[in-house]
Amino acid sequence: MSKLLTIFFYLPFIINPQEISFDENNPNLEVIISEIESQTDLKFAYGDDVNPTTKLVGRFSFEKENLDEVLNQLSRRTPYNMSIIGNNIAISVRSTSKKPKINKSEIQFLVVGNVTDPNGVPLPSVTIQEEGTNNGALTDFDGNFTITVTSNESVLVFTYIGMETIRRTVGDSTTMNVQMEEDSEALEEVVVVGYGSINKRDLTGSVGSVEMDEMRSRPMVDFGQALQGKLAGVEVINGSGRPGSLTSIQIRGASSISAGGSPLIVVDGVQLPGFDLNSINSSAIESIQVLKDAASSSIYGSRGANGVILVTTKAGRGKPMLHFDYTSSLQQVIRKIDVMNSAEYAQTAIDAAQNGWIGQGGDPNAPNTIEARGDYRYTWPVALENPENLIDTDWQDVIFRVAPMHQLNVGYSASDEKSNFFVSGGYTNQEGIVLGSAYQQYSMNMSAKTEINDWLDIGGMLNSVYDHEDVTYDRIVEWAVQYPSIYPVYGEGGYLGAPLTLDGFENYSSILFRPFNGHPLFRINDDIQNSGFTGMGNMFVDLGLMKNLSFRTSFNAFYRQRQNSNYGPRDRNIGPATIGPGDYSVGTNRTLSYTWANLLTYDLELEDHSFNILAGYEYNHRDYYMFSASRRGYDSDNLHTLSAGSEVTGADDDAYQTNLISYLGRINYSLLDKYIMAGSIRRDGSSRFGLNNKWGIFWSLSGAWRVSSEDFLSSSSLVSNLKLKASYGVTGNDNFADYIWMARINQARTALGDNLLTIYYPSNIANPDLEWEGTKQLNIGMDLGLWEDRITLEANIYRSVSDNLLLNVPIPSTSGFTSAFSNNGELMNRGLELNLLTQNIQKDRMSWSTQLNFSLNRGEITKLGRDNAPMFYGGIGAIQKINKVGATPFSFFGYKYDGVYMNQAEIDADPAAPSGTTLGEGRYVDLNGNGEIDPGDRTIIGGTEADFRLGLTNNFNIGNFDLSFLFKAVVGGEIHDRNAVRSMLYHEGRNYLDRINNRWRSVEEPGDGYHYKLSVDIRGMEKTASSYWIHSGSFLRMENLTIGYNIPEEVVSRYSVSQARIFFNGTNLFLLSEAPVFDPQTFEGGANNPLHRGVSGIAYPSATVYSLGLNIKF
Amino acid sequence: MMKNKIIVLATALLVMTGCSDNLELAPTTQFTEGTFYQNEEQMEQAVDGIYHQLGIVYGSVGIPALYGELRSDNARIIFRTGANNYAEQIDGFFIAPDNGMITEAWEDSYRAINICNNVLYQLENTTVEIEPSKLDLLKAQTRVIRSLIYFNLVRAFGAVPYIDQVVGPEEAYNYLRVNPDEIYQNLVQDLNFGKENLPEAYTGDDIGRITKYAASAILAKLYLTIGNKSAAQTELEFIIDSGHYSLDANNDGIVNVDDYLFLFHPNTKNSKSSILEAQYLSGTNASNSGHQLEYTPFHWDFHLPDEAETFRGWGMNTPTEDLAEEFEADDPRKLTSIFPGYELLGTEEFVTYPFTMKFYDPNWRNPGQNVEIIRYADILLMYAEVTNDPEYLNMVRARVGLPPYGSAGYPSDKYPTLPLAIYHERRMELCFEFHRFFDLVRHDHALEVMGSKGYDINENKLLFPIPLNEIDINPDLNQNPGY
Repeated sequence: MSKLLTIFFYLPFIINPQEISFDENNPNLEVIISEIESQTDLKFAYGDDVNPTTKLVGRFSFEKENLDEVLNQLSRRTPYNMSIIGNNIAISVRSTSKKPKINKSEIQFLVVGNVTDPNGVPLPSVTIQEEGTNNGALTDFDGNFTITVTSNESVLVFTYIGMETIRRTVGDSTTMNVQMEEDSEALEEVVVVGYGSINKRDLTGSVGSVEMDEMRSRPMVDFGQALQGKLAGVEVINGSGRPGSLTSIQIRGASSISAGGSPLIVVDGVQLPGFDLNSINSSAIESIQVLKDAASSSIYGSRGANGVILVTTKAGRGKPMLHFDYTSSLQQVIRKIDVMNSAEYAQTAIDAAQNGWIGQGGDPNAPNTIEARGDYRYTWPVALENPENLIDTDWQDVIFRVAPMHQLNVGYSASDEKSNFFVSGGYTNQEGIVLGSAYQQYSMNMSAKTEINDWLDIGGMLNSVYDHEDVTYDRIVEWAVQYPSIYPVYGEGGYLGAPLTLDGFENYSSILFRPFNGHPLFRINDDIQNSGFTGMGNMFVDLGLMKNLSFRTSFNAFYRQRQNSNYGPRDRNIGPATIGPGDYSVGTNRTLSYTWANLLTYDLELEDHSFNILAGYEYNHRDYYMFSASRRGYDSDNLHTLSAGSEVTGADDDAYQTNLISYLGRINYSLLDKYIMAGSIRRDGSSRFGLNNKWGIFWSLSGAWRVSSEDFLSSSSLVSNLKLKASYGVTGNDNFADYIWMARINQARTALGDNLLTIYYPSNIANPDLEWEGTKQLNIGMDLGLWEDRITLEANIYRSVSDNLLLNVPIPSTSGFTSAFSNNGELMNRGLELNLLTQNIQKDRMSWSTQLNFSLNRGEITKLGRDNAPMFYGGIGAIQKINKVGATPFSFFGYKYDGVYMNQAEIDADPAAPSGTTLGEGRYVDLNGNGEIDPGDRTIIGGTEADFRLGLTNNFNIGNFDLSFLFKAVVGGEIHDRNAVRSMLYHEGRNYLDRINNRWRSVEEPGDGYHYKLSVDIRGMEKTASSYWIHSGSFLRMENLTIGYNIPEEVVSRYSVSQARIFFNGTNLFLLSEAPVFDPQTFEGGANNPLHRGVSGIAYPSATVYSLGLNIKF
Repeated sequence: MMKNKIIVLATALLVMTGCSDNLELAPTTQFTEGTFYQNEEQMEQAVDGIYHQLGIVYGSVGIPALYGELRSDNARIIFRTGANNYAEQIDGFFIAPDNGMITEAWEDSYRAINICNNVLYQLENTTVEIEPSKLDLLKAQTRVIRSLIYFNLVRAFGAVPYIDQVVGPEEAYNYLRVNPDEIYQNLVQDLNFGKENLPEAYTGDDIGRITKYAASAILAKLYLTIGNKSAAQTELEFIIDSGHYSLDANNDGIVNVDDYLFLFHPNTKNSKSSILEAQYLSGTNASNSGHQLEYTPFHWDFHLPDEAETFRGWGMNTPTEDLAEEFEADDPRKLTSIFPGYELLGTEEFVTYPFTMKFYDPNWRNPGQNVEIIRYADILLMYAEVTNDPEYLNMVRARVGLPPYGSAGYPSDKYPTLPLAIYHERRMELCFEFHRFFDLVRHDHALEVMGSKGYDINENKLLFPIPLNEIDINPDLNQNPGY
């Protein structure tokens, strides 16, 4: 079996030996070089002593000859030695004159040894050369080498790409183990950019990178979490703690108001049709690049304005390796919300009833009876007067639990000089911290690439994910906060504990909260499930057309099918009077997207000039279809299927299609390796755009100056790297619905007598001029490295202006519509990003590095629709949001709350106090000073944009131990707490937040001066959006802590394990935030929707996660 | 080798430019303006859309409901929760100009007007061959319904923008508030066009459409509103003399209390007593009415009589005690208008929480009872008003077995004059049918009556505020005084 597997894995490699063919008579050396380079992946490397224009004597003719044999012959027939070193063919001049005299009487030394990388992993293909001779050797797959030297004074030179060259004198020892160090000089780090990759030193744009290897210890499901706190200018919000929910990502502030604000995700060239971070298993990802500025993202044209996230999946590298990662976690709600206990609640409920009674003119001393007070809401159950006898239930304890999670990933990778191969599988099984919620994910990923011959490569990738979510009804958490602590979990008859099932409470069903839509377990038996399958893949062919010119055609496909179902039971356990009919709904949708991309790339090196040119064409088609159906009327709660329902209550479908056609080009030019310029252009045609604006052009220009390569700095011991860069470009945002520019006709049904007629009417205002939003961005940046890059600093400032904003502009409703889409409006973002990396300690057995990133963004609306009319958004809790010129997008809007009227003098002194204001009521600021509180007093009372954000990572390595932790801080910005709103003004007897204990009760008990008195009758400003409901969104969080231990090699090697590591990880171990919410970054409905961002309330809270894990490599 | 590469390169360049560029995609699940209005059936379907709009503007939170009933002394809000208090504002005369319900009612009205305007535009510009008389019939229905919507707008807001054609977003800014008199002139023209071109009655599936007499009835109300009693009288006589309508709603040959009860039976549609109704239909996927849900008690244990399932309503329009007291002791209309409360399921304890049964439909999940816009009793009472003839008032009373005005059993101590008797009768007969506050204002009694009952009312509060949102968008629109 294992043999079979081995053959299977090696199959791609066996069938492609590297073969060379050419026929040249008296060629120059460079002709030979170019022939071999064009037919292999290898590059020649040689020193100053080799002159490539040297003519070689004789005819060199090879027909499908093995490369080794070719080099062998060349070495014999020319004055040069040629040998393969890594990915290079080294040419050295065979020394004839300086040939060392070998005294035959001298003993030849046999040296054996092993070469490893800085982490102790064996390095294959390291070149070992005896200095001053042609004598050399290579390490094998396990890093072992053998070499015979002439003298114990011989010096062995170890070279490997990306590593510092090491020289060792042989000495008396015949074994020599060498650990190589990374070459800090080599800034040859390659960065993946749109449609290609580039050496980091040549980068002119602003790109943030995350290597997923660093994240292996984090128990994450969606890969967005890997970016959390790591990159300046990339705001990552885990909007919900619900298992399976997605992280939201915003790059450099919001660049749109009505169109989507999420970045484009590209997985190995596959452009995802939507923002979906669960479509790939994060453990199959090698690295993530975030293209932040226009120079980087403009190559994605009309889809690039919100930035681009490039995901590179793993490819086989190095010797065959089987890896196995397992993590077991326990999750717990991050914190609980402090609410009143039953005694406090009882007092508050009595206060509210009494205040309501007094407020409507009742005699304060009237008996607490319905006869005396006329309305149950001015009375209270007698039991509340003896709070010591009340039950005190902690509802949050009832619904939260410590939930386990298991993650397992297994993968295999291998490569040789022609092919590489990677396959992996992942499994996640997560229980949610809220009763009834769970998530499972199964994934498979495979990638392979091989050289068929010297001009043809073929490869591809396949990734598939199936996931399934058991969802708990989303208000259960809200109810657990709001359900009064005075009720037992279960009351009489085993029914849910509620007024109707408690003696003395029967008449308070609507006044002291009710079991319907209120008891945390009311919807616990709802059966809600989401599941889905995502498959994506690509296949590409690379053709070497001519020297330096290559062509790639690739077909990328993405398919996703989602299904959700929801069964609402007949019996919700609140008594026989409330058996419902049962209802069930099913929805399914599928998204297909495919892209055919064709790219030509041309590289040219001319003395001091180097060019890299890209030209391409791309065709993208997207197709969406959804279907949903629902039925009602079930006989029992056991069959959750449509066909068991007796009455069809709904059956709907919808479909849309999008076509996008693109032409793109880019040129990178580098002069003297110091001056770099780049330009890109893309022309997009989209079916989404209006008839008159089908095509748009997007472009960028950028440049960089590597100051440290100039003579005056090149010898500096302080400055090891200094690069200044600037870019400017235009990107677009087409993230809006299809067909919105067209005059569409809605269908509906209307009654006439006993008949139902089908009718049609206009659905919207057409706008054939509708087009993409454009964002122009200027970026100025600096990369600085000090003391051999022990300290590096990346700094960027940017200013972007998004104009032509696709706005759903409010229009006079006398037109028949309240809004119309048009390209209006302008939005500006300015920001600063700093990323500081320091290698504090770099010792053999000990290292410590720190990464600190800082970002701030200032968004401002500079223009809106006609006359800059502000745009209001209501309906999210009690608060309105507004977009108006001069403000940050989606600011909170309302009255300014100013504490409690503490005494009569304060009321008398305030001309704006409404008539009839009594002590203890809230005061609102009369901003326009007209002596009354009216709509003119509304103002911006907060926003979701932070003043600045910080991320701090520390990595320690001590011997076999490693430790890392990540703090994230957000300073500034506001959130709106919807739980508080519901608990006070929706009321119905909901429990109150703990801080309402500080309310105004009487002159003797005035409270904290901020929280006004409560009443069952609220008719005033309490029900209006005001800053009373706004809290600071600032927080400090210990996002992540990892402690790892590498089991010593000598122990693990006994089990043929090459590396084994065990670790502990803690996520969300610590949160400092004054907002009375679970987590200031969990928002109901997620954070992608700017209307929901900053609104905390019924969201599923985030969790503190403790994990233990194991990484093994065979 | 080289040749192969050239072929490949050529192919590559070819595919890079050769793909068909289909950028003009149209929805597959919807018509567009270019694909609809293509034949007579589609033109009719567009016209039928106006009945859908009539159902919306006469919905439970349309202008007639908010202004005619919630604002009046007939109804109040006992208990209602939520993040806004728009309904309480309307009920208690402390409306803020950003009141969401009023904003929505305004927007719904203009949406309906735009749909009417679009239908008229399509009818006038169509290339489809439609018989001229058919064309006029279609136009007439549309113009009459548009008039009714404007009539309500003007009564609730005063001067409003008057638009009788399709306008784009930019043009809409130019339409400012127009004096009610000017608007009324246009409405009279539209209604007369309706009177001329609409049939006396419909048969079969068309029953329920707007008729000649419906146009005339709206005209009568309009004339009464602007104080032109004689013109109103002409219209009312036109209707009464037609013989098409009768108080014998159930058509059993006897006019008695059953006919009154029959009107509010859930299955009664477009009876002999009805001049114009907003059309709804019960059942899933049908065209349901929201009245029952909105007007039943806001209480979690509420259930309809004889229903074993609870359903909580929104508690709008709870009958006032004042209304209950005005019913004569043996008026059988009282129990339909004001149902006193309900028993708790299980404990059978009685909960006092009155609600109106006029919108009762046992099919409470998907109720579909029609809503009376103008019915014959209204016509008779208006006729009594313009003629000062108690006979027509007494017809209405006789139907429910109450003694005639002037007779011994009549509560003449309370309603000594005929006008007072007519106000009283209109309130009893038509409560919760969106007439009360319109009547109070029409008779210039609103300040006096509402004030005497403790409502905080003044002249300015007779009109709703123009929605703040609308003024924010177009600052050239001015606000009503007092807001």
